[in-house]
This record gives sequence, C-alpha cells and structure tokens, in this order.
Amino acid sequence: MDGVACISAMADDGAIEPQSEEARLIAACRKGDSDAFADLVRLHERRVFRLAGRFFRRREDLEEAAQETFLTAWTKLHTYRSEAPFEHWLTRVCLNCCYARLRKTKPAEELIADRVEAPAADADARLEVEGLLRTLPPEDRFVLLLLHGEGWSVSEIGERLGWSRAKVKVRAFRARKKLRRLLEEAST
Amino acid sequence: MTCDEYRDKLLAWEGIEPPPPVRAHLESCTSCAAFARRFETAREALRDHRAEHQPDPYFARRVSALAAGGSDPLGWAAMKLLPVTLTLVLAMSAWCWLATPGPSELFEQAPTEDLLGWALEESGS
Repeated sequence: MDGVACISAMADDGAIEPQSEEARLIAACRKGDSDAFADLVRLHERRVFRLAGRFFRRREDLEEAAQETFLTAWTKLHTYRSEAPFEHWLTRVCLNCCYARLRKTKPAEELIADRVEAPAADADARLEVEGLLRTLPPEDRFVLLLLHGEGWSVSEIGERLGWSRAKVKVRAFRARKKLRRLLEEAST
Repeated sequence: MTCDEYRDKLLAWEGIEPPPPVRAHLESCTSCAAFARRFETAREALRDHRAEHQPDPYFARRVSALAAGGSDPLGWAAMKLLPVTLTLVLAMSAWCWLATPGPSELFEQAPTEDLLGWALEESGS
C-alpha cells in the first residue's frame, strides 16, 4: 500500500485527519522531502488533471500543464500560507500555469474539440462554432472556458485566480464581445 | 431596448435560461433568435470542452523525481542559510587578511643572512 492509499485508509477509519496529514506532507516538502512531495502529488493529481483538462485536450499538453503546476507548487511552497486550504492555493497555481501555457500555444495546436458529440442534425452548427472558438485569442478562450465551461461567476474566477473583480470583468467583457462578433460575422 | 442591447444581455447572462424580457424578444426577432441558437451552441462547446485523461500510476513519482533534480527547495534552504554563509565568508576573509604578514614583517622574517652566507659559500669567496 503506498503512502496516500495508507493515509486514505487511515482517514476512512477516523484514525487521522486528512488535513493534518496534508499539513505534515507540506511541512516535509518544505524541508526538501521528495517522497512526501510524491504523496502530496498523489493526493491532488486527479483534481489538477480535471482542471487542466478543461483547457488542454491532448494528453501530452494536459500532462505537461499538470507537471508544471506541481513543479511550480514545489518551488513556491514557501509562499503558501496555511490559513487557506492547500487545494485553493493549488487551484490558483494550476490556473495560472494553464493560462501561461495557453498563451504560448498556437491556436492551431490546441484543438477546441477533437470529436463532436452533438446530435447529427446539430453537428454542422457545432463544428462551425468550434471552428470559430478556435480563432479566439487564448486569453479570451481561457475566460470563456471558466465562465461557461466551469460555470464560475466573475467573483469566483477572481478569487481563484487572484485577479481583481474589475480585471475579470474587463477580460470577460472583451471575450464576450469578440465571441459575439465572431458569431454575428458567421451568420452574415 | 434594441437588438444590440438584448444580445449584450444574452451574452452576459450567467444563468441557464435567459431573463423573461430577452426570451420575449427572441420569440419576436428571428435574427436574434438565430444568434441565440449559435450562442447556445458555443456555450455547449465550451461546457463539453474537457479532456477526461487520468494521471498514470507513475505520474507522482516522475514529478517528484523532477522536483528533487531541480533542487529548488535546497536552493530555498540555501537562501535561508545565506546570512550564516555570508558571516562565515566575511569572518574567514578578515582572518586571512589579518593573518597574512605585511611586507615589513616578511622582511624581518626572511632568512636574509642565511641565504647570503650560503651564496658566499657556494661562490667560494
């Protein structure tokens, strides 16, 4: 049984608190313990993959984004203040890594969808719209994916990214404006 | 309200169903209704835009090996020890400077007479 499985089993039995175990792992990581870091990664890898999967469909891109997230977390762990849950801090690191990576990615490299799951009658419309979304700048796609993909509000995005509410509002306004122009141009 | 304003409201709407005034407008305006359908398709595409890949069993081990190789936490530890390191370096430099004899001390310590005697003996004079 690996460390995380053991921790989970003990937590299920009520023998230990998962948060205190996480705090122990974080403290060990701060001392440079890479085994503790591997356990910490195991605790959060699914969550990070799920979030990064919102922006990257190709496995290699997703994995690189997740890897970058954890390596950034490792190097910046001293900036984490334990008053807030570690999960929130890691979400912010992950979103910022994805954002930076998305900005570096050429639009053609990141496919908005590699398959269409819509009914056949709507498939053409869906393909057309997906093509339009691909042409949006990465910054705009990022905000739209958080708004419509994750379903987060402006306040939630600001809180999770560490951006001001005004900044998110401006980005969302610009992104919606560009999306609107694209959708209108496509219909003429 | 104009079509332009209704479209702005539709785009900024965060709920599932658009608000009643916008819905009423969509029922009477074919152009805005077509726009709303395309926008809904775009929202669906954004909602469905998700990869379902799971991390492989060795992911955590790989990442921790990379982290250990990067030695950044050690770098961080080194940063914490920087004041101690600097103090040690300064103390050693000061000791070296003080312990090194000056030119006059060196002249006094130099075995001048012995050397001179040896040189004279060698020359046979």
